[in-house]
Amino acid sequence: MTSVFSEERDPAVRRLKIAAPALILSGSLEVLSVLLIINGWGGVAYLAASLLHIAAAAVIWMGTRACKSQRELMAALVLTLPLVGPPLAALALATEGRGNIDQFMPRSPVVVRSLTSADVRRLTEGLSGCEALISSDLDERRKTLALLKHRADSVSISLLRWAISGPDGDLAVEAALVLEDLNVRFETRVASVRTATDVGCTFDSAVAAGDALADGIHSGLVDPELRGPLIREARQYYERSQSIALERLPEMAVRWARLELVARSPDAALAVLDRASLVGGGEAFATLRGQLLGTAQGTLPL
Amino acid sequence: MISTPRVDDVCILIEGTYPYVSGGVSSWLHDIIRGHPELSFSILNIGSHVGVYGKPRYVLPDNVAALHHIYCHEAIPGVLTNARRDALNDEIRVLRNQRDTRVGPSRVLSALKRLHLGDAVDAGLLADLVSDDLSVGAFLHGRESFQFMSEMAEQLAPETPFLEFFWHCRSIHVPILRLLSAPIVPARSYHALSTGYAGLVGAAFSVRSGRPLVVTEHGIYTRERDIDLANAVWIKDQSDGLEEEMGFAPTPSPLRRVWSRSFAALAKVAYHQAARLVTLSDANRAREIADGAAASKITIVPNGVDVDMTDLPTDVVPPPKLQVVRDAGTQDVVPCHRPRLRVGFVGRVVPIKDVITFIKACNLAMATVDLDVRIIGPAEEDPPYAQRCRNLVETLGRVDTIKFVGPMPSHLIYRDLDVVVLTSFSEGQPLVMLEAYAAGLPAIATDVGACREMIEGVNPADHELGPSGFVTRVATPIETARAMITLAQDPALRRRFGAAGRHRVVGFYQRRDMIQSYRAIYQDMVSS
Repeated sequence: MTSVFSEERDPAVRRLKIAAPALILSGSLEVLSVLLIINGWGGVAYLAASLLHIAAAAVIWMGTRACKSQRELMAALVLTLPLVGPPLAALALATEGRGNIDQFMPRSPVVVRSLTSADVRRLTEGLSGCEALISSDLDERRKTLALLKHRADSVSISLLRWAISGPDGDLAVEAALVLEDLNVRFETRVASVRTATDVGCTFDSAVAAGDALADGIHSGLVDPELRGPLIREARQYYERSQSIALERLPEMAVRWARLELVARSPDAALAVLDRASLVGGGEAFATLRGQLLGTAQGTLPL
Repeated sequence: MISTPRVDDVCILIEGTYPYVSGGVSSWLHDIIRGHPELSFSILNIGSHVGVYGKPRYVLPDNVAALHHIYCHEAIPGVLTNARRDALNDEIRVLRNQRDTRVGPSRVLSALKRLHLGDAVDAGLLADLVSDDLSVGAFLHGRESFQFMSEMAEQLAPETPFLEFFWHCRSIHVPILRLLSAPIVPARSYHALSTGYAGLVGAAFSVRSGRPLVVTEHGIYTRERDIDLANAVWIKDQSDGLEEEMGFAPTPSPLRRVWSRSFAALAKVAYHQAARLVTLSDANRAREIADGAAASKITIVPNGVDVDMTDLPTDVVPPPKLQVVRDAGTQDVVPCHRPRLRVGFVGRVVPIKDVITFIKACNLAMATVDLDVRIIGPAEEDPPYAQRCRNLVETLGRVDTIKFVGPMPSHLIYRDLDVVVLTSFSEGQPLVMLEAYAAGLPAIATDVGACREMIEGVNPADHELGPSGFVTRVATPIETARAMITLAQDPALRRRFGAAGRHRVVGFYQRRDMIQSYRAIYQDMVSS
């Protein structure tokens, strides 16, 4: 601790001068409470001493005009350390912190400069997807590829395609292998839902099949030339689910409508939503509206 | 009378291909052996385990004196009976006792530790590595090896659960130890056809016998293993339930890195011990140097094919005139028929060749031009992948135009094609491109291995010939399709590319030149 009593211009000295009456009063109350206890006037004396002790802390809290954290510290010292609390509170008030990191910083004027990419990296505590992919650190690159493979959404797939088209041949091959793996996963999923509908077509299995195909289309995993047949197939599954349980159409209407929009059939999309509203009534309409608003806000890119 | 073991001129060390698997390296080796009738060869085939191979695909030439086999793993055991289990326990007990007889720390373990920690390979390390003072049993059951694994776990993958590291560490080292203790095949020189296990055995034999080692790399082994490891499902990436629930990606397991570095370390061993390193292209040479090979040891010997010199093209044939009509609406001149191109994919139907991209590219191109597509090559190596390819063709509705014709003799393949297309993720210096060039066909290939050099030329004289096809990016069907459309629509360009390819193969990729280069290398090695 650094004492600065000798320097009147110092803020600590000023703080002490302002707080001196409160500190003296608090100390006096503490002495009085101790005297009451020492004289042994029974239970009433203990009660009075306690009240005086609390009053000493309250005086510190209200009368020192220090900042809140300092007042809290001083009041706590007075409360927890009878009699020696007020002097310690005075010390706490007069203490300039020297554990602050700025104490070791050069006192040169601050030069404001624009952010560099390194600053941005520190700020965001991580690399962007593109940066991480072109990183020379093999582990960083693999971590990013694993992340993209795990997410497998439209952004991830775009990034993988970007990596394939880049100048780094090794990265292109790795990204292509990840994309290939995602394709295998997609095909396996589609084969499994197709089998499930072949075995016994229910509303849920048909919707699952339609969704599986639609996911590949929405994420951009499916190549454009394969989109047509897969959209047709997904539509068929949705139609089958509708024919099985028309009353459950609102459950998957938005997904179906999205598929129709990707297929550039806005009329068909609207027709699906109209049917769902008719079937489900006002409640379904509200649900659809909520889902579509969510879509509009970017959670589901239409 | 004591019989002395036969000593052949060259012992070829090869991982699991010749004579059991057909393909680029196998046919190359077959050519090399037949091209050196004055030398005697023995072949040491390194396989994964007994019974992994079927019938040989090649008849061994007369100058192959012996075909040996060693395996990285013991034969897959059948169901254990009680008697067999007791016998196994006895064997383990014996092995544990053997471990106790060694005096002092294991030199092999010390060398392995240095390799894992990235130390430079030197003569001392190699001497330790081949000292054969650590049996597989001692490694599996000895206290010292357990200590080694603990240290390696802390150094190489501290974030991996030890139990997981333990089993992977065993899997990495058991093949190495089995191969290091393999009985030497006496020869005047050793020729490993890759780094990895073949390179390791070659280095061990070379150190123990004092005979020279030459290593030929067609593809870059460590790179190919990295591709395998990147998608290996037998290495579990780290994730816990919470991460899964929160939707975070699993962290790639550090064990992938450990495996990758162990293969890189094996490559360094082979690079150090090899008297000569032979590679196919400048691109591969640069990679080998980056991986620790001494530039002074590297010789580039491109692959080669036989070329019929009687019908070399001398000039470009002008394109045939197309009949044209005027479009009724726009009055634009349009050709009255769509160009037709006979396209061939020649190779195994396996994921590394990315046949899927080839099929997609053909489908895209067919929107503009007519293609007659043949996929020529064996499909039995990876049946699920071959089925995926067939399914894709069916989904695209191209069953009539994209045909899987299976393997064909090479002299029948090219006469019915206009262009050869490769969409591989990885290649060395594909023989099929050279064969296509020899037949006067252009090539479209991805920018992997030596493909760019083979299409655009590698030196000024080669560049002067002009391109002999198109280079495309991997997994980019649109580029491959564009190249096919261009060739279909421009027969003159096709012929020009074909002529350039034929001149290129005559000038730089002749089989006789390749054999001559190897003859000089072998003579140097055998007589040293």
